[in-house]
Amino acid sequence: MSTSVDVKTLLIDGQEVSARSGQTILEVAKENDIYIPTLCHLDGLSDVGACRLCVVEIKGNNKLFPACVTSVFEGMEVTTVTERLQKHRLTILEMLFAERNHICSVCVANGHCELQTLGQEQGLTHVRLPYRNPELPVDASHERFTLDHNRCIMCTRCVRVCAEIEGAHVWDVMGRGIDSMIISDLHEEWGKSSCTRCGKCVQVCPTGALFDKSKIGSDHPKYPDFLPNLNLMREAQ
Amino acid sequence: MSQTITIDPVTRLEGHGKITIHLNDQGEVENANFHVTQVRGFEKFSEGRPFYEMPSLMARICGICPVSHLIASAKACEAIMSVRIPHTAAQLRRMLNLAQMVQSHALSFFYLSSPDLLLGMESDPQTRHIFGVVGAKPELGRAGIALRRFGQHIIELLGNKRIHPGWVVPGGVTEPLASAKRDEILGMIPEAYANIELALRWYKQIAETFAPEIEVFANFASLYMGLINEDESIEFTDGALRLMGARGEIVADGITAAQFPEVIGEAVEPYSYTKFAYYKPLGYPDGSYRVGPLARLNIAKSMGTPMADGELSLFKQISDDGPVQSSFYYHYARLIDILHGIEKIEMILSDPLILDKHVRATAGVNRLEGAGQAEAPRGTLHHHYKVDENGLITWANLVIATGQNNNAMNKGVLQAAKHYVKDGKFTEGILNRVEAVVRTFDPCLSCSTHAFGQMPLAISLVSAEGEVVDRVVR
Amino acid sequence: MIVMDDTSCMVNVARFFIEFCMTESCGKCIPCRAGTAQMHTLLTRICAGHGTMDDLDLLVELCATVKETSLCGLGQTAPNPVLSTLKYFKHEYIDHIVHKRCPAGVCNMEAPVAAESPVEVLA
Repeated sequence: MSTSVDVKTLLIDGQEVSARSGQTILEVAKENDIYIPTLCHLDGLSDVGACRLCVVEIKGNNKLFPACVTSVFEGMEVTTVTERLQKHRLTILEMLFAERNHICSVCVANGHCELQTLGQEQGLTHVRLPYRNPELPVDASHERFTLDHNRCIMCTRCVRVCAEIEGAHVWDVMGRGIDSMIISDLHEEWGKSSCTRCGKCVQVCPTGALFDKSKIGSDHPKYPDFLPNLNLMREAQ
Repeated sequence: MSQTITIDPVTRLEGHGKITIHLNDQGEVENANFHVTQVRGFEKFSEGRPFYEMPSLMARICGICPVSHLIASAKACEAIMSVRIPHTAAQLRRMLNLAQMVQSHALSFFYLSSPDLLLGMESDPQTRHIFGVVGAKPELGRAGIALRRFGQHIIELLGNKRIHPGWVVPGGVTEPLASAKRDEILGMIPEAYANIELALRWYKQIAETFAPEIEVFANFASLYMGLINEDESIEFTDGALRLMGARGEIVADGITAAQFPEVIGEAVEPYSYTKFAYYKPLGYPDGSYRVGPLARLNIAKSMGTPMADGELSLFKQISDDGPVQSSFYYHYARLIDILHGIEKIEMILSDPLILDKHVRATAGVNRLEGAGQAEAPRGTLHHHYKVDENGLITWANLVIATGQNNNAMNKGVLQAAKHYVKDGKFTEGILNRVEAVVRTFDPCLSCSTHAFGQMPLAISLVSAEGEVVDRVVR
Repeated sequence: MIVMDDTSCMVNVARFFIEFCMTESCGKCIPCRAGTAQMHTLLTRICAGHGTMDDLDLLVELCATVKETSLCGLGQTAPNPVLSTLKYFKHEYIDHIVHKRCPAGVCNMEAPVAAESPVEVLA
């Protein structure tokens, strides 16, 4: 870290906070215990700004900005909770629930699902959008883990953790738009892919799309907290 | 002019069904059918799902007997895995199944049927429900509610959830029994004994007054089927199936889940979404049989528990030769089942290995096909799956108890209707008796939605031309 | 600015543009990926004569979320054809929904809609 630190001061939800230059709004908010809902962001992975749940308002600009990829500047005034933002967040969650087949009651991640938690937290009581009910496969070819595309929200955390942390880059995205899907290698069965069986992707998956076969029926909490620690230890080396 | 009487929906049943009674030109009952009017599609939409997810998926078929589906499904999965589950897991599951049997029987006997038995078949439909029972005989109503809670609470203690517990998994159960929970269950047992004894005493007092109903409530010769242990004692969770003939002769014995499809066939009738199971060597409909409490008690030589054994010998005295025939005795058999359940739960809890920590076996796909069977409260339940190499379901078939009792229910409805409906005339009390025949079987109409209290009942008299001649609504 | 005469159905035009955006969406951000697909479903429903006035409200909400929260220009501009046809030709939408009629004679009102799930009520 450089010795001279460029400090920025800004307002988040009326609270005066200071930040280092180059930090994102989300990072600064977290440091100051200001909650911004996120789904694709995970501490320890690069940010892609894909879920759009962390959008915030910045004074002087009518556009909305994703907090996870927007850098702070001096004198910035950020608002994280407004009626407009809440409405968009709810609609985005609705879109996710209607996109594939999310059936919490029989899902292995029930009670430990970030999508479910966000729905509850944001007050999503029902989905008005027509359910798309796509017919999607389940890849159970792996010895230890299963990928259920029905529960995938395309956050690409698995893709990033596999490429950035494990260095294997087994996961990637195939297709485009509503038809895009997570694939292993060049669309091989997971069990036949170059997977190193480290299980990081399972731990970072926010829903029950990636799960441990032996956890069926039991509680299946995910432990993505290993990431920042792992990164810290690697930096120290 | 020929007419059709429709009872839709049939009340105080688990699920939706209707009864049609067809009258000929002379106003005599020509035919009667019990229809199950819903299609669920579980066998179809489970295709493509991992087999280890099946117990929790299949449990959603029913909110009353999810445990039976959990157990039959888990056993089918274990056949696919080719594993034997640890002793403690088997005992814990047995206890869970018995607890569910107690609560479901309590629901059937006290909530659904005791209004007819206590208040009378002809009583005012406005008060003919569990609250009417509580008003007229509070101790009986309380006993029923307490027994249901007893069963439900054990399920909750074991499975952490009263309905659809995720605790039963392929290979065993997810967590062992804690000693505090064991002690809590043991503490509930004395009260349960007192309640079931009260109910049995009361039943014996009133049973004689129902002699006319006993005579025509599905009172005919049939085959009986149920699970039995090697020592010929009653079994709900393991063991093998026995098929008994109308004179008490053993028709088939030792039928395992894997053999079930060879022995039992399923016929389809156009008027119902439920299939009609039959014993293949005798064909359909001659091979129709009954399952459930009555069938189980007819088949078993003993209950394996002292107090229930005493009751079983009294039960066996009802019929001088061979099995007890009238479905009215399902009620009595149900109470004996409850007594047995409480005794057996107490026995299981004294097993020195019951707190053992080894409760789950793990394995992958070692066979591409598997079947499992268990006794649901209302009769034998059979799950049969086929999977691909990765363990994804490619085919599933479920044979539920209600399908196996289907022919007997239809015959019973016809028998009662023929006896009671004369000259095309009927009263609400008569139709209630026709419904009560179905209630004795406690069918679960493959449905998990239940109306609270009394559902509206509409009876229409329809002429042969389809014209509604008369209509009674309550 | 696009010039069209009265033989073009405005709802169908909006549907056409949304279909284009839906297939062109890369799928990275949720509002564009799922939002355009949802808008397409709703517009197809309306074109087939199965739409409701609630669908119209939903469509407006979707437009706002997709426009304001999408990651790139494709998503941010995708709802524009819907918004401008709604602004200038709302009566055509209402004709489709309320009167089950396509003023330009373009939409086939008999077309079945797959996305609609029939709800059977037990009598």
